[in-house]
Amino acid sequence: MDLEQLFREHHAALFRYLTRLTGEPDLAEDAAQEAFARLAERPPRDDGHLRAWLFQVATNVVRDGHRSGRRRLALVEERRDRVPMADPSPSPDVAVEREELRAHVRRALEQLSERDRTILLMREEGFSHAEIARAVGTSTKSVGTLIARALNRAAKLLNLDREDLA
Amino acid sequence: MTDVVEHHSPHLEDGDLVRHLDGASDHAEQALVEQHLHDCAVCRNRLSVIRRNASGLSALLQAMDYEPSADFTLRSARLYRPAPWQRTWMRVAALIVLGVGLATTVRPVRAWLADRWHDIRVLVERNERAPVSHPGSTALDTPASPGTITFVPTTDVFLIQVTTRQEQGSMTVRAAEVDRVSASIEGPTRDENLVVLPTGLRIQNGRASGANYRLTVPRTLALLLVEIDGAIVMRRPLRGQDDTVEIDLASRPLP
Repeated sequence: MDLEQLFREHHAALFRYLTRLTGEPDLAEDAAQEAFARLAERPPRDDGHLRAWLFQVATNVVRDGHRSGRRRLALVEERRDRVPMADPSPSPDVAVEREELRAHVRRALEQLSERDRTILLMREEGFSHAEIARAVGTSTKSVGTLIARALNRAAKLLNLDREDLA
Repeated sequence: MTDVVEHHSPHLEDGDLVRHLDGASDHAEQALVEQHLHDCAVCRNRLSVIRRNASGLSALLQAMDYEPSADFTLRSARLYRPAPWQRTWMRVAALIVLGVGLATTVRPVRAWLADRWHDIRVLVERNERAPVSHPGSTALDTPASPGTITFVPTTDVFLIQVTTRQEQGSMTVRAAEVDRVSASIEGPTRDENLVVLPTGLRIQNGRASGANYRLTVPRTLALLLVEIDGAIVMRRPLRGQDDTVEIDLASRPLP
């Protein structure tokens, strides 16, 4: 198993997912590191679902509030200021607007249940309904309905659309 | 598939539309949904609303993304890669070589092994039945004895996955005022195993097994799910109440 190759393939998406899930880039990076550390130490027997496994382990790490002191020490040394992806050097006004938007989205996501948030964010990362079903403990058939409901709630909270999806 | 495809309701449900949008429905369902969308302006409109909301959510999520720090992730990957001597297979291989070497060359060791062969076999068999922890479980306790396991569940929805139905045997799940899940294998056992999953517990068994399984779970769990042969056979909200469920592992799945 080429760990560096796996990092290149999955770390950015995992970090993005965790940042959206937690709203905290540092915590997201910490949880992603923990998931990869576990992958290195005790990889899953079935590597056909490696990506789903990584996301699930990282989600559990976040849920547990797990932070390994030993590993965290290693991370602190090279931590840099975070750079939003959209524009590396925005003007002060744009930066303020972006922070307000980020806070608005963050508040909306926090009002969703953990399951709704996980479902929507996993869908954003392109996971199949079967993989989402395994992650949240439900049947594949019911995932479509759960996504529709979660999307409806998110749309209302974010004022995406005035039309009610029921 | 929902009612509309069976012609009981005039419109598709949102879940059908999402499955259609995500390409998650099978070929037959996809064809029926497409036909319905062709004929129904209301459902076409609802599909466009779902699509628009999904796109809007994607755009907002992208606006809040941060750049990961790639340099340091690669450094960490190197940092935490297990050294070759730590890899399990190498340790096992080294032990086997050492053991064979001692057994064949040192006469007292050979004699001792001959005397203790039966005890060694029992130890090996017990070790094979010892519970296995999954990397997703962060709170696994040291097993009390072979075939038993206790751990703190990490999700409110707890899934018990049973690999297959058995010739005989049952599983008893008790919800009680505890903070840990405990599980044990009892009765006539073969090669059953307990594996802690990120979202629950897997019982690895075989069709010829006649073992019974006893589980105690915290009653604070929101939902208990039991899956046998890949099909969910029980969903039970616990609602903070004591509860006991017995599932016949030799019977047919519940509807």
